[in-house]
Amino acid sequence: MKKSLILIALLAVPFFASAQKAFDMFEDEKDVTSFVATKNMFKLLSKMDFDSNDPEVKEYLDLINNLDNIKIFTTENVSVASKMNDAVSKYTSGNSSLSELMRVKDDGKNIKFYSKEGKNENHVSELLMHLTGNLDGKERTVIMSITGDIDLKKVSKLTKDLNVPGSDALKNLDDKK
Amino acid sequence: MTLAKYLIGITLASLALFSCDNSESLQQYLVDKQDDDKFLKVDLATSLLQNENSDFTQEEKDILATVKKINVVAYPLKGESTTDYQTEKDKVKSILAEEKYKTLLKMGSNNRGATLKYTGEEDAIDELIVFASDEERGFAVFRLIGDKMRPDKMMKLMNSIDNGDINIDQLSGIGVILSMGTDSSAAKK
Repeated sequence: MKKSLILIALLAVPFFASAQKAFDMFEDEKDVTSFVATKNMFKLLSKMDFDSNDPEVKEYLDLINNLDNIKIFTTENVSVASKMNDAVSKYTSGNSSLSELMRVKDDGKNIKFYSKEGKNENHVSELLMHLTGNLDGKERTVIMSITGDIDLKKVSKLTKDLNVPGSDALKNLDDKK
Repeated sequence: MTLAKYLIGITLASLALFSCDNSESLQQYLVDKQDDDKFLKVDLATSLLQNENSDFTQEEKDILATVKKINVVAYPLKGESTTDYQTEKDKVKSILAEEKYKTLLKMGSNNRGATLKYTGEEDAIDELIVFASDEERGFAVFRLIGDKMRPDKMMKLMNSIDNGDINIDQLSGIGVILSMGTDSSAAKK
């Protein structure tokens, strides 16, 4: 009985893993600007001997130390954009643990944030942003997916440094909390 | 039930063997291309980078000793057929997709892309690999090969480059290839 349980668990692993990879297909897609940072990168960064007396640096390291993955995909191509939109709606509707965190409509932009419950109300285990609309004078679609133990209060600082569009909206989230 | 157990065992074993057969290491691939005229190659022992009259501390010398060499292999595109280029690029890609090459960063935009990978442990890196490609110029694999390189110590070492202890002129030989790499990295920003 135990054996079959383990077997089932093992068989199920790929399915869970594939949920994480819902947007990986855009990595090699033409007309897509992508940025992916992995857990290895964060581990490596945490090993670096930065000037850790600086509280700001320390806070930053604390934040990224707990992250698993950051993926950002941007496109201006209309057909790729519609594929991205499909992928997001499929992912969010097929994943009941993912709930809408916030929706912002502002200046011709539509931004939606989804999150997966984390260890407490300020921490989420997954943060997904979906932005569509006019950005710097061009129609763009952006998907950002962050997984790990994410501190919502601090994550906007990171996304701002990575130049992710929509970070401002995320900052508002901090203020509300 | 016992039969099933054996079957699973055999399948797993054959899978393991199969994957071993298929895995071609990056090193092997690059050695194979050593005599291929389509490829540009630069091999640089890091001992060349030291200025004769540099005054490294013993600690800095120890760190330098962990870095063995810099190896650059590039396939520049010169308007010829791209099918061969594509096959070679796909080959490198599939090699780098193996688990032992851990991904740090991946970036891409339209026809350009760069991947940063390493082998070893995060505090004892054996090989740091940058794979950059540009559909108009070609692709390049930059490797920093060493033995248990420590990233934190390396950062410290980087600072000493500003002090002029490391002779950067020696690197000008790979300027042509590097300019290709920096162009694509500049485009990412």
